[in-house]
Amino acid sequence: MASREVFFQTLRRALGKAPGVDLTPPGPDSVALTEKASAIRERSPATLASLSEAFVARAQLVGWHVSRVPSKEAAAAAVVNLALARGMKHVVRSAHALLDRVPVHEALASAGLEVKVVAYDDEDPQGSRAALREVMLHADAGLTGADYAIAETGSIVLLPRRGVSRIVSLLPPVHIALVETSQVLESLDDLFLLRTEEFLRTGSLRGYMSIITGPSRTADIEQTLVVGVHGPREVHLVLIEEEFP
Amino acid sequence: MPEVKTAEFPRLSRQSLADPQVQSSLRRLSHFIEAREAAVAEVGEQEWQRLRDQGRRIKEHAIAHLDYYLELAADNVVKAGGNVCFARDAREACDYVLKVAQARRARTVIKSKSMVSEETGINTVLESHGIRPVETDLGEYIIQLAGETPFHIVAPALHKSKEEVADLFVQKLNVQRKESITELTAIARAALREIFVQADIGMTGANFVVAETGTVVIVTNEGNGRMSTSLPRVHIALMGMERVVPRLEDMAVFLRLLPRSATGQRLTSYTTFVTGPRRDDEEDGPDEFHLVILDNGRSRMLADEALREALYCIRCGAWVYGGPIGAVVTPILAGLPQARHLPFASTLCGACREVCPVKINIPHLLLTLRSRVTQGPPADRHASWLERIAARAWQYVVTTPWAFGLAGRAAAILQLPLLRRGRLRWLPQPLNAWTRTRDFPRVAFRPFRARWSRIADQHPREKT
Ligand code: SF4
Repeated sequence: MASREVFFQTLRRALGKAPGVDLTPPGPDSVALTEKASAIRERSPATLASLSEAFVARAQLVGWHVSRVPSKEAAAAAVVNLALARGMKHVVRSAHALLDRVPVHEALASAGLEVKVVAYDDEDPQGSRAALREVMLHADAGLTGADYAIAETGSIVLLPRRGVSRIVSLLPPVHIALVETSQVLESLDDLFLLRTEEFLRTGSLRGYMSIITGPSRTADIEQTLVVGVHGPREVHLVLIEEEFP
Repeated sequence: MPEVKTAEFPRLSRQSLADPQVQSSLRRLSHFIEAREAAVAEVGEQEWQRLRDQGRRIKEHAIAHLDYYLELAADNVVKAGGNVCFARDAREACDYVLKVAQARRARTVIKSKSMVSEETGINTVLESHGIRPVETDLGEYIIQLAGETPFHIVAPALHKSKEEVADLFVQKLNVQRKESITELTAIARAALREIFVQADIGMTGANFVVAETGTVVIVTNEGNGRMSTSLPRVHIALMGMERVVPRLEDMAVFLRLLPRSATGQRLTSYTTFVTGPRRDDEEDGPDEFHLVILDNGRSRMLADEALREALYCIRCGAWVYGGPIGAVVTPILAGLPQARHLPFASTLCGACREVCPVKINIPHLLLTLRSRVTQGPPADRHASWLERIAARAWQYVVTTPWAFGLAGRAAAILQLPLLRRGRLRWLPQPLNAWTRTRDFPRVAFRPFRARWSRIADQHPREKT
């Protein structure tokens, strides 16, 4: 690639460097990383409980409506109450593992709502993706799990993959996320540590990661805050705090 | 080369500072400043200084080894299934984007805020080939509908009142007139949704690019960044080559510095990490990913010891772009002559240096540029013969004691008809260059030298 060479020639001349790599950057210490990552995974219930407190306080500040529930059944009931209170009819959901363990799909369906799982069909990936997008565009709410929650910032983290769409949490006007206490991380540092550890272990990173911190917002007209621009205007967190996970 | 609006800066800034809408908006911008102070106070002064030092060190390291980290980033993007273009200037970047767009027979490109796209003038290029670029950041969308360019990049639609936006929407979108800001936002949401779903290409900037993993990091509040990187079949990310950071863990530092410095938030609503195109088993996302890495004058800054620092800038929140650092970056990127007025537009009070999250010495950079402009080749200078004669005269007066004393008395008397509440709010040509946008303190009736001799008499022992 000729243009790439010229680009780097100019760059190295500007840096006053000879071509070639003259840098062995301080590579991540993978042993230390692995140790820290397992320390995070093996946190005590007491630690998790206090992190959850911090997370809830922060999440409320950034605009999440938080309900704390003691069980999976209670979580399903909380979602149904919310949907009925808002007069919702159509809900889309991702196929996050947590959503298979929480009986929320059945609960919503028996309350009379139409629930659609966003997962493409292997037979017709193209066609089913297009159809699913239409459904998402017209749904009243998007229901997702979370891969992590961050106490420092009041955010949830989504790692899109098979069954976990990028946009179930984005297109509908309301986003409802289910989170378990075991998913709460202390800080952004912990998040990037875990991601780096996975990257070094597997040799690749997933294609996408969203850190979501409250509703979509803007202050572009007269510097006045408005929620719900391109993303949801209303965001709910249901935190499942089971005694013995 | 794109059209450089900066040449018109003196005229445009005069116009806009006189606009009452702009005046009240600038006042409202001070909310951001308060929020920022609160957000920083919450971290604690010591921790904040530690973060700034850390951010600064990471940037210094990354820029000193830019060649290494750019190659690493590019290789990792390719490994993840993406394509990389190294563009030496705006034209090469535009050519590449156009080639991609034409190969996909694209008709619409949706854009999420990107400084580099402004810098390259890509919109004009696309339009001239029948491809429609649509801005999706609410402020920029409004400006684009109005057919203006975001002169106030601080907040692109800063100068529009909600009534003006309401009129604009009625006129251009054929909708019923709505006046509340919430309803206006809803109108824009609906109009842009339609375009989002049928757009062929999503184009974004890159706040940071992580070399270690080949990841583009995009920070937005509205969600247009997520839309642009999830819905269209092709995603093109444009980055200035200084955006690269070595490691993923560095993002913990910059994500703490950036939103706090910009809007006083702990974190923006959406922080999006894109590594190549959609993976095979993903539910949605683009099939194709392109990263355009732009030099366009940055290597000139890099080679210049005195200016290199400007490349550490993390553009803390898009809205600061038009502020002090824009005055440094723009002249170099545009080549000094067209942008020569910008380094002179700041009062150099030094406040920007105090707040800069990566501790850039902005006043020093501006001074360096000013001296280049005034000492540069004639094309870079903009003093008229009149100014030069005035400068000579000034030099004579201030270095000749009797002339200085006389001039002081004369000024004290001449100012009398102009004084308003103890300040000079208007001065005749050519001194109005100062009073157009700020007041001048009145000239003292008793000159300092006269007072000094009296003070010295009264306090003889303190005499030095
Ligand atoms: S130079 Fe200005 S815009 Fe850049 S990081 Fe510093 S304060 Fe922010």
